[in-house]
Amino acid sequence: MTDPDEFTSLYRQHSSGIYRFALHMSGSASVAEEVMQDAFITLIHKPQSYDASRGEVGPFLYGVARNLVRRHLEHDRRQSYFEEGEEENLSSGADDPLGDLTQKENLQALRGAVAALPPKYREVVVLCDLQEMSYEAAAQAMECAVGTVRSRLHRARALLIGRMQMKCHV
Amino acid sequence: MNNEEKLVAGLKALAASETSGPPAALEAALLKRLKRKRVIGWPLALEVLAAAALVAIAIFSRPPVAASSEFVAVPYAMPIGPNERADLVRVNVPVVALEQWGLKVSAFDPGQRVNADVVIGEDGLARAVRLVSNP
Repeated sequence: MTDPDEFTSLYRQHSSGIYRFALHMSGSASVAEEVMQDAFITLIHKPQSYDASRGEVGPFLYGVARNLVRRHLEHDRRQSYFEEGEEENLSSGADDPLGDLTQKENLQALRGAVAALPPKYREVVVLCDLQEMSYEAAAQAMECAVGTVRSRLHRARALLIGRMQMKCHV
Repeated sequence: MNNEEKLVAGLKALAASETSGPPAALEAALLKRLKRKRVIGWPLALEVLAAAALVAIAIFSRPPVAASSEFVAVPYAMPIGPNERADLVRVNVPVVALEQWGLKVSAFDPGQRVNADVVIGEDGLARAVRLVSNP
């Protein structure tokens, strides 16, 4: 990676997505910023680590970011990034917690439920549902098989539905 | 709409509601880094070689020392890649600096300066460190 125009194009295409992926995974804006920056620094200084035959550069960058986030999470495993109370309750009187998740107050609850998922389920929801990445691209980023992406996403959605329903009845 | 479809619709709305992004200054900083790497020329390369030679002379002209600890990865640093060139630099640093890098040197006075070997990656960032003690 030596062409500034190519780099700028890649950066503008992927930086916000990678930043938000790292933000959802870590819950920390400073970690997200550092991870996003380090992912692109990897592309600048270690271009040989990207093998075009294995897929697009976008999922590669997400994969680098994923590994960096994992390192942060493991290093700070005793520290909770997710402050208590972040998961706000659903709007009062909601008989069906999944009825209208597009309401602003329910989006906040949904954001909290995603943040509370175990990392391996959270990452697949963030990549496939929030970033709208294809299963193939997510598999490349997660360094796993497409079938694993599908099964984890299915499990993650079931967990989210369960959590949202439980919150409604609390 | 079943529950999963409702959830997916909610997640799409959540994604659409998010506008956060990295600071604008980061793009310029990374681009500057790319250009700096790209335009590195002979004068700078010679300076780097000269500095490396001086470090090598300084290291090899000193009395032999015994390594007293294994290398410890610097927190949050990228591991050295299989094809990545790395430099080993011996430095004299305060004990407290090594502790910040994850080395346990509680036997020393925190204000004391000690020798340490630092592995530097191609990007010029420290990747690992080990404590060195005089025999």
